[in-house]
Amino acid sequence: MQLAIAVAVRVLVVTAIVGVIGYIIDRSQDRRNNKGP
Amino acid sequence: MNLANLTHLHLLLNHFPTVGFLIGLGLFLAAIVGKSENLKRASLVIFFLIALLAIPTYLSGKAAQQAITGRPDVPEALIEMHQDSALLALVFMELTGFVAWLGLWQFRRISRPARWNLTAVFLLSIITFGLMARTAIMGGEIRHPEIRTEGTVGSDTEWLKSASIATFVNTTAWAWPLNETIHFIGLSLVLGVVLVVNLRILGVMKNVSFAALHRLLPWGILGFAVNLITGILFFITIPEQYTQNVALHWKVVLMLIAAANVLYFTLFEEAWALGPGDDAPPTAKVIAASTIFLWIGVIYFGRMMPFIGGSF
Amino acid sequence: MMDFLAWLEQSGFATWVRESNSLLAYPSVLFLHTVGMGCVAGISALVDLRILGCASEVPLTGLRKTLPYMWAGFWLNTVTGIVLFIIDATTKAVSPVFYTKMTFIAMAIGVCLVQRGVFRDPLLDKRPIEMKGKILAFTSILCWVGAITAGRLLAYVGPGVVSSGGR
Repeated sequence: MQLAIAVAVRVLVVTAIVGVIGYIIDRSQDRRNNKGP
Repeated sequence: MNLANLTHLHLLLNHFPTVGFLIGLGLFLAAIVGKSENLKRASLVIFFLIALLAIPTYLSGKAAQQAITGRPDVPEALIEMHQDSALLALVFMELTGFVAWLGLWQFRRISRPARWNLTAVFLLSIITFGLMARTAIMGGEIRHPEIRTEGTVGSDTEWLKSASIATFVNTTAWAWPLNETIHFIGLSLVLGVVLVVNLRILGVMKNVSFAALHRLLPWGILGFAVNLITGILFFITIPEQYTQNVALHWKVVLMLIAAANVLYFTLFEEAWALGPGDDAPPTAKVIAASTIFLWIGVIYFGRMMPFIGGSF
Repeated sequence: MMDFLAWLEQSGFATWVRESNSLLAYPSVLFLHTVGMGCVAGISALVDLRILGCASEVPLTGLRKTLPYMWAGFWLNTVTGIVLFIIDATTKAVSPVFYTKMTFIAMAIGVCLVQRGVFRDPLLDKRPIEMKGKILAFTSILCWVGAITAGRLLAYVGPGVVSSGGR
């Protein structure tokens, strides 16, 4: 159980970091391109 | 493939991240000086493709090590140094490839890469070339004592050591499951983007222009990058289970083809021109269907590694 | 209850899946489960990312047409998931990790069902997305991450399945 929690916490951290990086790169494209559908 | 073939493959492939990359770098500089947009794009493509080829180069290096390890005339310390130098060079090579791809993606969307992109590619490629050259010299010294200089053997200055990484993962209980989980998350991101983009070409959601879905490609590349990192971590930790694993060989081959295939969706006019309501030409549909199969094949061979490969 | 689970686990089908050397047995079930995971979590995550504001050129009404493929992944994993459960029923049924995974999946699917209702709105792309929608989308991503993590950890629970498939 301790292993599960140790893994889960770290998965969350890594996913958050990767997600934030992706989000920032994505949103930075908006200023350059036209927004909207 | 047996160890001898894999070693030969390593000796063949290592020309790409060295000589090939230098040619790419030369073209890139010529493109900047000559202000040629076409040449800039060509050199970014070369950087991207060579970054892909660097992967099997690194992996086959492990097999080469296994083929000659233990022989009296082979200095183990030199091999370790070469391997660690190669890992660092690989990191920067993949970064260069990623930023180069981003530039190509921007080229398609706004007819030029972002201002920072060319500078970043330039800096990263210079660093990458330096690290690759260093790795290459060490590699040569392994089998060519005539080019070794005094003090070559035994210096322990590597910043990124495969042995330390392997020891850490092997002794830390949460490390391997964490790596596996992140690998699955990256897989989901890749497959999600692959499906959405290719389904459009196959005729689903025709009212959406391809150019809009093109915007999703960086997320797919992000997933790929995450899986490349976690994949290399698996490999470094227990290389014995991987180097001669047939399933892994197939996985890498399919993965390289699929990754090179990304350039079709990133750059080619045939895909980009697909507007709302347009039906894609038959060749595009064949490519789209093949792409989906390629990535499912990658997942297949990945999942089959304990079974087909038989080494777990 | 345990007797029933043991009976399931020892049934002919379960024994074949678990112990057969054929690649079509346990290895294929795992493979299909991985593909299904990629489909359902991948497409759902992309829809969620779009709701959160990424790739704003993609119209949400367009993405709606990919949802059948997401559901296909879900059903594929329901079927393969049941098989994976049966072959190791006595261990999985008492594993907290298993129930954690099921909870996350239930929550993620719950969000998908709510989103289904939202997708029926013809004015979807004409209005800015409400904060409620964004919170749901973020929750959905977290739930899939949780489901995938718990799913992976299931392999480390109990004696598990020792398969020699493919040799």
